[in-house]
Amino acid sequence: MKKEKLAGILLCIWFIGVLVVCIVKPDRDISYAERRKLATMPKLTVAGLLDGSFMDKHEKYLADQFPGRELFRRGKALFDYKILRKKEVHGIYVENGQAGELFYEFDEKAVAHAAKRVSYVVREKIQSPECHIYYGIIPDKSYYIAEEQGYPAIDYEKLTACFQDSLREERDRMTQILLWNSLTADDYYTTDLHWRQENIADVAEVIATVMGTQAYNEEELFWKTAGDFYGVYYGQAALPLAPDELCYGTNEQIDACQVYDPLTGEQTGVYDLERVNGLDRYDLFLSGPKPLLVIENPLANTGRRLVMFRDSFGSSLTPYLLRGYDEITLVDPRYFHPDLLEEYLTFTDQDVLFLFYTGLIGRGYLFK
Amino acid sequence: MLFSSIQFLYIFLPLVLLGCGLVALTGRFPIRNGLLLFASLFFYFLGEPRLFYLLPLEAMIGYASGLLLVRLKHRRILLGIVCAMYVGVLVYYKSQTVLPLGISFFTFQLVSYLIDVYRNQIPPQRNVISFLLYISFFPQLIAGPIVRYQDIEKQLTENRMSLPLVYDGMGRFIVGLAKKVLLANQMGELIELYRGLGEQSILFGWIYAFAFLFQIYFDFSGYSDMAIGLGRMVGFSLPENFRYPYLSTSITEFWRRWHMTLGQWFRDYVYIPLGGNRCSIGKQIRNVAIVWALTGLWHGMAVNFLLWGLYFAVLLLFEKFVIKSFLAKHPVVSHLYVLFFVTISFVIFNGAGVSGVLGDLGTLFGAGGVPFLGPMTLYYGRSYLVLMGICAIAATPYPSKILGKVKGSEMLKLAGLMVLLLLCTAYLVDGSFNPFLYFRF
Repeated sequence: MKKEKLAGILLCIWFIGVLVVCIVKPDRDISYAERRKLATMPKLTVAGLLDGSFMDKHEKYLADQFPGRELFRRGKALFDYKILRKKEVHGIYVENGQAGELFYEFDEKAVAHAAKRVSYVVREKIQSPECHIYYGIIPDKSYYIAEEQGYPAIDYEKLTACFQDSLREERDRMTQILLWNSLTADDYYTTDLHWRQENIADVAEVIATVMGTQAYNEEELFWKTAGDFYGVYYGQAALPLAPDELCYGTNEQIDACQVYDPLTGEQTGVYDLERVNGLDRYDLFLSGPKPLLVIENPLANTGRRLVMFRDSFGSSLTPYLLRGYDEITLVDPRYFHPDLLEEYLTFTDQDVLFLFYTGLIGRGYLFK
Repeated sequence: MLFSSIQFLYIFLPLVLLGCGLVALTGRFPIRNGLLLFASLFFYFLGEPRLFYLLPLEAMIGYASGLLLVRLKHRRILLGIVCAMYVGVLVYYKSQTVLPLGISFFTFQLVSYLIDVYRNQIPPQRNVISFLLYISFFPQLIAGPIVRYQDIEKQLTENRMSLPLVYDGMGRFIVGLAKKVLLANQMGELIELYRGLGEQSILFGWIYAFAFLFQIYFDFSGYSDMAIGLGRMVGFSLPENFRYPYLSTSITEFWRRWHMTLGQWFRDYVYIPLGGNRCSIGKQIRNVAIVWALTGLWHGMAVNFLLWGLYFAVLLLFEKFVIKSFLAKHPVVSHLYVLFFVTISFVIFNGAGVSGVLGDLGTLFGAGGVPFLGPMTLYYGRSYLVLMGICAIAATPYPSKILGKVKGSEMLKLAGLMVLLLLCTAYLVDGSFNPFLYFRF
């Protein structure tokens, strides 16, 4: 009986103790592991109480601010993965040290939507015959690791065919650049979906060759490190993964480049080292997501210009391509509507490259 | 607010324990019921703010009717009117898209209370706080067990709260929480995956059927465990609602082990008044059909629930008149028979209308050329294999028997409970899938 009393007291102490810690502990603003802002205490309103939204938000707030949240998430992930032997945690699996996302279904309508937006730009905005237009699809990491490890993966041929079919007649004005064979699983960060800049010289070379220009090779760049990089899969899965090393390549010409944001008037360099202290260290490359950027390359003197419609993969690829262009304009169609292009850009004789990641075009209506 | 929420676990529960503990320590027992009533109504308000008034309104009508039933001459008329009103409100809301929380449960408690008062089996409760607490007691308010007044009458006036009971109750609560969070919710995830995937195969159909068999059991019995545990913590003993139903060797036995308080309610207030089995065979068949049609409709005014209830009526009658002696002689066959037909029953239960039910059943038997296997079947089958194995073991009494034989200290048991509690907390903090099936009913 004494032991039962003691056990009862200990459990009461646990429940009441956690309550006290929850009250006393100051709230955190950001979870660096999950790379997101944490929920704050919701405002109590009669409407919120009556429609149940207050309670939902409050539960989310408690979960976000729970003492030892990271430890609990890690414990849960390990229990799922090691004890229950689940194949993935929160849609993330780890094989041979590589974290990959379970990605086995793509939305055909979303792919068609992306292709139609591309064909709209080609048809309506790029009317000059002097413009040479290219497109490429960047494979998801799962293309290289899923099937051989027994994970389901999307049918990339079907996705590509779906994209091409939806380009319609504009496809005849465009040259496809195939990247599938230029990459391996090791060319991607182990904890993130992106490719490693230091490993994509081959990709840059393939693209530059098709576009009739030259890209830097690895030896022409000085490689620097920006420290450890815990990618998006690390935070999503909460599994104990070793960090990647975030490297970036530069040289005199790249250092001399001016990156200009026409929407804000802000000027930066190709690498924004301040971003290394932010939520996503990958934002080091061209300051992260930006609707529109213009890179002036004063030391190139090639007489050529490139307009690249891209996503975040393009940010780490662009420095390689600076060898061949005096100016590169980067448009992110997730944040920039093509009807606004005329205000900032006239298509005359530029090379135009559409380069998107499969995960972006296959999973949502992300193109404006 | 769900029991399996951080709000409940780490705010509501500690505050209730603190309050009741202080009441017990200071010897001010009379205010315990007031405190628990306040907590129960607050709990209900947080879960059902828009239709909150229904509970106290119906409870007050029940309180007044109980008092009148021992005074009025035309007791039968009053009973009929009030019970018809309760059932009418229940049927009305059952046919709406939004069902007030717990209405199926507190309506049945109110009806049983009034009938028992009418039958002079119990005296009416004169203390309004005690009566309201009986109807709105938060541990069993939302999803049962359905408590008969005579089972709780004495407890409303006794102070039974003690540290060993608190510990015992917490143990039961944590086991129920683990059933819900670690097993039922994950089976729910698998079911969502099955529903969301384009792939159909016979094997995935059966994986889905077994996943739902486990989900509904661990969800509902976990909730009942939590309710019983919470009751114990504050000094109440609530009736058992489940006793390892999947070990049954007949459907009759299954229903003596599954949602026991609902079965007892229908037996006492519908089946026996209709004549039970002490009448002609024709009337027996009629009685069984009525009871099981109502049992099905109690879960919702949908065709699949009615089909589900009648399916059991047919099985029970078939057992009673045809295969009763065979089942008694062949325990292994009878066990497999129960598992098979109960699994099928829950496929009917969880189907989306008649076409959905037929589609799901068709998949199980390969109708329309559904393949036996597919890549996603293999993938998710492997991914959830261990968990399904754990569910199969946890649905038997063997884990608790083995634990009972461990001659360790209470501290060992406490350590096990803490591990379960920490794991459940981890799942809740991680924001995992967390529905409660029986809130729908």
